[in-house]
Amino acid sequence: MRFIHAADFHLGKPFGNYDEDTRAALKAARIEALRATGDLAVSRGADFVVIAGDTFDAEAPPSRLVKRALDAMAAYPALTWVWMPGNHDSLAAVDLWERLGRDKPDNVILATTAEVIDIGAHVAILPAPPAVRSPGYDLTAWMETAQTGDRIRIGLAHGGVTDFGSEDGGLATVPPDRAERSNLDYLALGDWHGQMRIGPRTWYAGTPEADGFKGHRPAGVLLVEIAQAGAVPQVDQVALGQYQWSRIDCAFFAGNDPRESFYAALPAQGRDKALVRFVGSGRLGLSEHALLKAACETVADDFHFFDADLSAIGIAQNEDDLDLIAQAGALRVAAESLLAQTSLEGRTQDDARIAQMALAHLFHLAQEVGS
Amino acid sequence: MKLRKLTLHNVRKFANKTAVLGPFGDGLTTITAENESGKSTFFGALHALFFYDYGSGRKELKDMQPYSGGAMRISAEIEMGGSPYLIEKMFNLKKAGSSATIKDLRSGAILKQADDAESWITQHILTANNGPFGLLWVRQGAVDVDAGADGVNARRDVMSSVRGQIDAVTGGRRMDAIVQRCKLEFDTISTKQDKPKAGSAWKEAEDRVGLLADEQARLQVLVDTLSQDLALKKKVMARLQSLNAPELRAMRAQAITAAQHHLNETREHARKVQEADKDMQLVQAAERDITREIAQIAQAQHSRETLAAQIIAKTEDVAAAQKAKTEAQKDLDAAQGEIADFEAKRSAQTGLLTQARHTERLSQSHKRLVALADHLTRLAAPKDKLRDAEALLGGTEISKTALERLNDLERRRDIAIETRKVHFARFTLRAQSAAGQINGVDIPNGEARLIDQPLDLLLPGFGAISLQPAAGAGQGIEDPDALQKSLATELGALGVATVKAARQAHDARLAAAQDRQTAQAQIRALAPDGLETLRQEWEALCTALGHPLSDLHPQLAPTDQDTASEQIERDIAALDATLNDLRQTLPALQNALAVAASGLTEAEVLRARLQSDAQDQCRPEGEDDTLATLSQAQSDKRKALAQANATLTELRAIAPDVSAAQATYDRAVQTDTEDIKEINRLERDLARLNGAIHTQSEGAVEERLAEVAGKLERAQARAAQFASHAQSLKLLLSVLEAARADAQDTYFEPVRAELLPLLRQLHAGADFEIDADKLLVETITRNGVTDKVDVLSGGAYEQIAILTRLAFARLFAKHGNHVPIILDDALVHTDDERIGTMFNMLAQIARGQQIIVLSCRTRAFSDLGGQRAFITFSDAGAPSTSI
Repeated sequence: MRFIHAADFHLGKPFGNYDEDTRAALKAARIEALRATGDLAVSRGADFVVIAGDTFDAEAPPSRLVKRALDAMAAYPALTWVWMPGNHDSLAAVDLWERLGRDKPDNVILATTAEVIDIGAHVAILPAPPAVRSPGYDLTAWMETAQTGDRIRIGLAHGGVTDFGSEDGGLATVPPDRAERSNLDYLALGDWHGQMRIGPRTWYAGTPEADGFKGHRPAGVLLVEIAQAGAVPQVDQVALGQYQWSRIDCAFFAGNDPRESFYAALPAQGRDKALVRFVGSGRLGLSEHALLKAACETVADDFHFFDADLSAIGIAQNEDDLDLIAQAGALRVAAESLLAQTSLEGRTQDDARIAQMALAHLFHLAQEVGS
Repeated sequence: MKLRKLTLHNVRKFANKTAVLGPFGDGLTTITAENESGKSTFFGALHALFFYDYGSGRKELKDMQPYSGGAMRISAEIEMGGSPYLIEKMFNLKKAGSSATIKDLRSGAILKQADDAESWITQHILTANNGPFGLLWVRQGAVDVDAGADGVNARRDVMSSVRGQIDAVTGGRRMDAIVQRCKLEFDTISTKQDKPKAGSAWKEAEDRVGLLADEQARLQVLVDTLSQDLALKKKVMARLQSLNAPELRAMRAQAITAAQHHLNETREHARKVQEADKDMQLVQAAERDITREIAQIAQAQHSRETLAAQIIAKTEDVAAAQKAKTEAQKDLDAAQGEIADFEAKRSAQTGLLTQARHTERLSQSHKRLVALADHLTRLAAPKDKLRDAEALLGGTEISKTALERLNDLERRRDIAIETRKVHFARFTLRAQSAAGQINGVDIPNGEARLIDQPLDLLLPGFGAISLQPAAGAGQGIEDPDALQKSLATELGALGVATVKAARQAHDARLAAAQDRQTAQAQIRALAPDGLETLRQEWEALCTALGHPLSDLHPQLAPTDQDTASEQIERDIAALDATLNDLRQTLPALQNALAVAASGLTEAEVLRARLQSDAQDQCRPEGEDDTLATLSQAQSDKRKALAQANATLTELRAIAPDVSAAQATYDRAVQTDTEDIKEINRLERDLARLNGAIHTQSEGAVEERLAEVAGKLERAQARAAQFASHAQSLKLLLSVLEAARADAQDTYFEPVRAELLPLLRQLHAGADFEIDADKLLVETITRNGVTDKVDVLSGGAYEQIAILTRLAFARLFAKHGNHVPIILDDALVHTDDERIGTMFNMLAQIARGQQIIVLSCRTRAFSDLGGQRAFITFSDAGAPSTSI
């Protein structure tokens, strides 16, 4: 028996702190992820798809978005979708679940009560739908006593594992050994946006389309295969996401051309679908800092989104740099004064940062004005 | 660099001429010439040579062209590093025909041409030693440092460019440019109070933060409302589900049915109790009727017995009353008889009294007749007197005033006559023959005549004599004729002839008035009511008594009737007293009779009523049988009543509580009704919530809130970046300006050292301060008084300005940078005493410094000393003429 374990589509997530084009593209990609999941299930011969919560980002999504989601599932009539609420679209979103119950296609099963759902003759789904955004207790406890005969038992839950945590910082209530304690063949979890193995029978599917720079593995779904009840599941991590989110941390050292490290750290392929947050650290001379800044500006348009944070890069004391401002005289005195103020010694980090900005600007102006 | 010679061809006033100015020595060179001699043309041309491109067509060059036009050639021989060079440019106001050439005068080789020559000038002259062209130029008035310098910025620019050493210390133009850029950037985004500037990108970012924060708050309210609506909807749906649960509905229906059944049973039992109670009450009513009938019969029997006894007693009362009435009637009749006797006696006495009173009235009339006759007799004399007085008083009255006026006229007439006699002369004519005449009137002979007016006397036989009164005689004397005339008029009006007659008439009138008053008093005493009243009374009495009217002497008749009428009146009074006493006894007697009659009538009426009642209440037939039947029936009903009461008590004992059954039923119905109502209300709530949720979900408020939160975060970051940028610019500016101020202090110290001894040659003990911004002397302190230089006299101002340039030049020279100083008509305001001192200082400094002085003050500057240069002209480059 083979099925797709998916979660956290977060349809309708707005991505407000990005530009308009990026926002539109990222929102569209999340609907596409639903279709990609269907395609994958069909192509890999999956019997059904389980969605472990947070299909929608909000409790009251607009009807057109709900319609698109249902249309995407209806496009695969031979495929069964078992759809459980998460904390973002919990049962507290009564209007949403009422609408879904009314409008859903036949191949969609809403797992909105803690009751066994039989899939075919050999599979039993044991859902633990959250009634509210933060239930505050273990919703999976009922699985221990649930009777399913000799069917393959697949638990479905959304939330943090008690020794691990929750994506949104909420209460983590699912015990890590829930699968073993409740004789589950597999526990399909949602909430954490990166794919993660908690145990041989317990996995987080992660979000199919990445939504941040947290550094998760490539976003996608899990293709799970269970030979028979009691068998250890085979889990295949399948990447589906269109967009590659990368936070690139790079440390610099004065005396080297920072551009070499910078270019080497950037992804070489698929830049038009890449979102990059570059975070520099270390220490650079003023001219090197200027080179790096110029390099950042040069490559920014290569990427779908590029953001460089160079504020953590300190200014290395370099006579040559100061000579480029002025070899002597008042300008040199001013540059040396600013350089001294970039030191954290005896001043706040913010004051040092302002002094660093002032020095970099002086360097920039000195080069512009010329000798 | 040092200038050696300037040559112009076809420049301004030197049209088609070649003019040469020079030579310029190493030290001081003076060029003195009258105005319009062309001195300034040379240095204007020198400026063009250094600063204007040879192919330029700029206006300044056009202005330098002579009226005839044509290309201009300007050349300067200079010395740099011990080598002589010629810089020459041909300006044709366009590229064609223009040229630039640099020639090494020692070798004669052309070093550079055209654009290369321009580059050479820039490199070796304009930017040499980081200076522009190595000149310090003080023009006329000594206000500006350089030609074309305008305001502080231009001056700073020139000064900055001049001082290569200054640049090394203060940052020079780079510092200026960087500071300007920083200020511009800072001013673009920030106010002086470090707030975002209106219209700046920073302000725009801050405004966006504000707008997004407001939008976020607004959306948060909507999202909270949506969340509450969703929670409420969940509760409503759960409640609806429980209310609509089939088990609950069935339970409610069953409860209502059971309660209805129990209520019906309870009501049926209650109806039975009610009927039993009704039966018992019917029996009770029948028994009460029978008992009442038995009591009524007993009552009738007792009433009849009582009536019989009362009739007997009332018959005795009638007899006693009859007797009392008879006795009262008898007493009344006796009293009335006695009263009639006394009334007859009184009637007789009243007749006697009437007769006596008639006699008395006749006697009184006679007495009055006698008195009236006496009065009439006595009235005759006063009446006559009154008539006579009134007759006299009826004539014309001569009042006292009129009389006094007559007396006055008479007196004044007499005085006038006598006075005229004294004042006027008189003449008396005693004619022997015919009498003389005056104005045709004869003059009485021998009669004295007053000459009181011009008189023409005609004396027959004699002639005429004219007489004139003395001048002024008679003035102030009244005219006696006029007075006599007035007197006569007055007397005529009064109807008397003389004043004496008037006096007599006045006295007679006074006596008549007195008589009339006396007569009137006498008449009023005798006839107070008037003579007519007296007369009427007299006539009436005469008629009544039959006395003649004319007889005023009637006789009195004697009488004694007074005594008789008084006795009769006393007798009548005694009879009246007796009658009164008798009449007072009558009411008591009449009342006793009435009481007795009334008592009789009452007793008779009562007795008749009792007798009537006794007839009405006669014993009915079969009364005893009826009573026995009723007693039996009463006994039967009492038994039946006891039975009915027992039945009712028994039913009541087992009766269920109707109220409780009703309450149970009502409660069951109400519960069901309230369920339905609640379902309806919840369904309405649900519809409303669905509408609200639908509105907000279609508006994607949660998505918009998250989107705005992201935008706000981004906007806040952008605003923070601006704030940091502004902070960094402010820091940078403060650091740059502090460094420059320190550098300027460092720089100005040697300038001060050079300038101070020069200044003190002009003003002993003076001190000064330099404006770090303008790079000029700002204040000067002399004898303890500090003045700003721009308020000094024109002479002092230009002297300080020149000394400042000289000090700079000395400083540059010490650093191996020789800068020519050109004083173009400077010191125009300086007096002769100071100018000597200035010349000394110029000569002193010129020992190591090229100074070229141009002036039109030929005589004053002839004492300056130094080498003298002249303007000469040549056609082929060789001097031919000098000025």
